[in-house]
Amino acid sequence: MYLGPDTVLPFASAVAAAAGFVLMFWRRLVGSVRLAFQAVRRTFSRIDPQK
Amino acid sequence: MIWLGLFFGVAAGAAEVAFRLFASSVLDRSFLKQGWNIVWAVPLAHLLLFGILGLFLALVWTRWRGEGLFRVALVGLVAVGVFAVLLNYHSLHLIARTLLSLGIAVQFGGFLWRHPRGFRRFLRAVTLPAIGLVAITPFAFRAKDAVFERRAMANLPKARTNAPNVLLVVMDVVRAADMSLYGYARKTTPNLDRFAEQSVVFDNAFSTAPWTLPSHASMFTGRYPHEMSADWAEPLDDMYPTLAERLRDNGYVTAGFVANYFYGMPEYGLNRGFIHYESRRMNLGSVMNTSAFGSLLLGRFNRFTKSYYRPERRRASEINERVIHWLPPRGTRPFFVFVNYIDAHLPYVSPPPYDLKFARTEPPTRHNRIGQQKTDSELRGLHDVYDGAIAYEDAQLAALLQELRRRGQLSNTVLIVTSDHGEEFAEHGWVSHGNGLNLPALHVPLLVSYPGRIPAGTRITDQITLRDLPATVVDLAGLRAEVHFPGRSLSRHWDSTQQAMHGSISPLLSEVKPWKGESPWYAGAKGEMHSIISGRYHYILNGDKREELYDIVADPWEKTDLAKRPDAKPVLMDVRAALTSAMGSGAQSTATVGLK
Repeated sequence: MYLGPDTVLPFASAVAAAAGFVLMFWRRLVGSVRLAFQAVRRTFSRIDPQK
Repeated sequence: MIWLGLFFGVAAGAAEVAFRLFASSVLDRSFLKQGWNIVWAVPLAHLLLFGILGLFLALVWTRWRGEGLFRVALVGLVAVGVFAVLLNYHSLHLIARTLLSLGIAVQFGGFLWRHPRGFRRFLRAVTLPAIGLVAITPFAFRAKDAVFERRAMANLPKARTNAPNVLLVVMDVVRAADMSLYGYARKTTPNLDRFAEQSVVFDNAFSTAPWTLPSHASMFTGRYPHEMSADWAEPLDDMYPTLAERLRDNGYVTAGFVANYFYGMPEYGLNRGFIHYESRRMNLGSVMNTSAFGSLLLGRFNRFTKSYYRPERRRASEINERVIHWLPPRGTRPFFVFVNYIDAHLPYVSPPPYDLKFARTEPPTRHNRIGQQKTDSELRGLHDVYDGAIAYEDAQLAALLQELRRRGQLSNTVLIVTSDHGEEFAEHGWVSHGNGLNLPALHVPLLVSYPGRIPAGTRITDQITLRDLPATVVDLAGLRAEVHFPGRSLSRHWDSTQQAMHGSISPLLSEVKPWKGESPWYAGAKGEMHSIISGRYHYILNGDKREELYDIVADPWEKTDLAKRPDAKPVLMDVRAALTSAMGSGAQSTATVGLK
């Protein structure tokens, strides 16, 4: 398989852009994931499997 | 704020140097273009750029002082620094590069913001010593060169008594067809026309390659391109001795003054054997241009102002000044001086009145990039300013020769004036050179003069190759017994004793390999090309094995391909055999390399 700058460019650019986006909004992303995780945990803890 | 800017200048400079060293040794295993000068030039460029940014921020700070501004400045400077370093990695889209730079800046800027004490201590400890180091290094490099030159001069052996000087002038990209010396309608070379009365002029001289590096390498080693390492991204290695090395070993003081600021750089190997060598100009602009960010800004500046400023590029007048400043006094030692003018290279920019000597108004453009097709008016404009640049070089060459004459050095000088290759003006589709092997890119001027020793005012119509130049120089310098180069001396064309000597005539072989950024519609994009001139026929074997055949006497612009004609079959068989033999003879002759 040929791996030259022209074939690498789209892949490398997509990875770099995604990495940049994640780094820029890292705190918000982590915070959102944490909130989502807590929300799911709360939902499941309300359902008592014994009942 | 200024110190903050300078700190990030140092940091970005160090990071870019580290990246380029890593790239050249690990990523693409290429050699360091622009050489070790990058270790001081790149950080200096960043110091200047970030110093200006710091100054701007300091001005803003005096008006809107506050935590928010400091934080924005911190993130902004990191982002610019990261972006500047990422510019060296070409496989990233601009948007991706910007996003990644901002992402890293947010994280790293935030880290520095959270550790103010440690950051301040680090900034104070690093910035000033680093600036001092960047300031000292260029002087250290210059001192090293001076010591090398002094040692080389001290170690020179005694030269032969009455050994002539040798001056080789290469007018880069000047094709014979555009010189009045060869019958061109425009008076582009009035001085060379006159000088021809004191010289031997070759009407049919051909280069071994349609671009700078392999063609010069052939002129220096007597080798064909397929025998050498010199290629688009590969320097000339030290496998074969060069003319400068052999002349130096025989007591010549050698110097090169090269305006071709890219392939003429020492890193491409053409400097081998020269005790003194100057190529790209080092000034503020060229220092900025060594960094990827500075280069990007210069490109934008040129586009915005519609100018063609290349800080590294020396005009012929400046090359002359350097030569005259360096020339050893008469009667000390014989010299070998190699001069390269680049004014006729794209973009075609020469000083007034030559810039518009053959154009009524400023042309639509003076430049052409790979892959661009030009309109008729653009082509006409390009051709006009190209001819003006040739006229400028002709005038400058006359000025150089006049100065040598005034010093009394011309009478004992073997002078060779030629070009490394020609230029295409869409005769076969593209503008430029290095993309094919048609005659406009191969047919070059050649004048040889040695007052009193070779017959003045002689025109030679025999076809010759520039590969024979080193053999010719050692012959005229009286070093035939001491030095051997492949090929045969061109003195066979005027010296009857040479004519009687045995030895095969050098094949008129030319070659080119594809450049990786080649446009697909260029001939050179299809793979390695070879061509041979045999009598009135020029045979071209393309990379895709397609054959072309031209009758260059009846059709010098090579417009009619004869290869498909049934009556061309016997000629084709002959020229195929000639090409195979030429490729083989080159390989065989490598066995005798470096005997002397």
